[in-house]
Amino acid sequence: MIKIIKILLLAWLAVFLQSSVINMVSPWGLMPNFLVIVIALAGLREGVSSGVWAGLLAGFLADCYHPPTMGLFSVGGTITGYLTGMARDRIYREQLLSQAALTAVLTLVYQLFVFFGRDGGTLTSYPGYFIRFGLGSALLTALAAAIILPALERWTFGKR
Amino acid sequence: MLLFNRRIWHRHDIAVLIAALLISAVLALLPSGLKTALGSGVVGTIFAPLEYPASQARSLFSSWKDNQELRQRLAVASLENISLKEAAQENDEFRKLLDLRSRTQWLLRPARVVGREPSARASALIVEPNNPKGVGQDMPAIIDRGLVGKVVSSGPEYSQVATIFDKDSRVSAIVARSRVLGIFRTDRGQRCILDRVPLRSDVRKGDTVLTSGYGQVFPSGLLLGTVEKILIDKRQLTLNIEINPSLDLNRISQIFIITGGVNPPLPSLSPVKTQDSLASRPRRRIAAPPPPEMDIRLPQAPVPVPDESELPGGAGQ
Repeated sequence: MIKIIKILLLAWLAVFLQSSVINMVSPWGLMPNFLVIVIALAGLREGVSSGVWAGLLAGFLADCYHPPTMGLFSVGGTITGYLTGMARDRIYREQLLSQAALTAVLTLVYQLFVFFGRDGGTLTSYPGYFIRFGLGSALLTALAAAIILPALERWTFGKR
Repeated sequence: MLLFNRRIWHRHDIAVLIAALLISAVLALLPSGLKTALGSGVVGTIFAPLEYPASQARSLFSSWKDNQELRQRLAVASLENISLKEAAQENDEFRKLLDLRSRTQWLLRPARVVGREPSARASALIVEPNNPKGVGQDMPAIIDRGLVGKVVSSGPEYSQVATIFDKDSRVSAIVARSRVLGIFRTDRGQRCILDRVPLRSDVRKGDTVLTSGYGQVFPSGLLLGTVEKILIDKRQLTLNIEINPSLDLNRISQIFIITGGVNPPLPSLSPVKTQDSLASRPRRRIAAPPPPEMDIRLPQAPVPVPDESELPGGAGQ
C-alpha cells in the first residue's frame, strides 16, 4: 500500500515539476520527461499492471492541464506503462544503462501522442520534429533517468 | 505449467491494459464542459497550492535577467517618453479639432496563474481571477509584455486561458514599422510565425509585431514579439516570418483579463492602474504650458486620419 502511495506521490510530483520547474531548464526547448521516468520506475520494478496504472494516473494528471484533449495523455501513459512492463523481462533491467535506454525509447513513444494528438502534427512533419525536439528530449530524459532512477527506486521500493 | 502460468499472466496484463484504455476512452468521450470542469477542479485542488509558490520562484529566478534588460530599456524609454508626451499633447489638440471622443482605459481584472499545461510553450493556463464574476469567454488576457491569449472557459473559481501558443490560436497582427498585416500563429505549437504576408512586404529582422485589432477579439497595439527569421515560401507567394514571442510563460505568475473598456491612452501619460475602479477614469492630463497660438484651418477635403494603432501601447478609440 505504501508503495502505491509513493508511486501516486511521484506521479503527482512529476506532473507538477514538468509543468513548473522543468520549463525553466529547457535548453533549446528540450525537456526531460519526468512522467515517463515515473512510469518506467513502476513498470520496470513491478511489472505490466503497475506500469499501466502508473501511466494512466500520470497521463490523467497531465490531461487535466489540457482538458480539450482529455484522455489523450492517459492513453499515452497507459501504452508507455504497458510497453515498460513488456520490456521488463526482455532487458537487463538491473543495469542503469538499460533503464536509461528504455526510458529514452519510452519518451519517444509518449511524444507521439503529444505530437500527433495535442499538437496536431502530420506524418510528413514528424521527421523534423523528431530531429529538432524528439531525439534531444529523449536523451535528456535518459540522462535524468540515469541520475535519479536509482534514488527513486530505493525510496519507493527500498533496497533490493 | 510454466507456459500456462505465463499465458495467464499475459491475459491478466492485457485485461489491465484494456481496462486502462477503456478508462481513457471514457475520459475522452466526456462532454467538453465536464472535461473542463474536471481538469480545472483537479488542477485547482491538487496542483494550485504548489503552483503559486513555484511560479513566484520562477519569477524570482528570471528577475535578474529582467533587471539588466529593463535598465537598458529604461534609458531608451526615458528618451521616448519625452517625445511621446509631445506627440500626445499634439494628438489631444488634433482630437479636439476633429471632435473625436476621448479614450478611456481597459477594465482589467487581475488573475493569478494556478496551473499550466506541462510544456515549454503551454497552450493553456488555468487562472484564478480576483473576482470571477464578469470574466467570460473570448476576453483577452494580457501582461505588461503584451498579449497572453484569451479566456476559453470560465467557472465559478477558475478560468481557462488559451495562450497565443495554442495550435488553434490565430491573431491578426501588424508589423509596427511598416504596417504590414499578417496572421500570428504557431506552427504545430513549436515555432511562432507570421503567416500570409505577401512576398514583397517590407519586413526586417528585429521588427516589432503587434496585434492589429482587426480580429475584433484582441485590442490593437498589444506586443506579440519581434521578427527573428524571414523565409520565402515561393509556392505560396508569401513570406514565412518566424517570430520571437515576447510572451515567456516562465516569467508570469499573474495576468490581467480585459473585461471591458477600450485601448488606454499613451503609456507615458498615465500611471499603471490595474483596479477596475480606476479603469474607467478619464485620462489624466499632464499640466503643460499653454500651447502657442496656432492658426489652424480645417481643409475642405476630409483629412486622412492615421491608423491609431501606430502609437505605442495601442491607441485605438
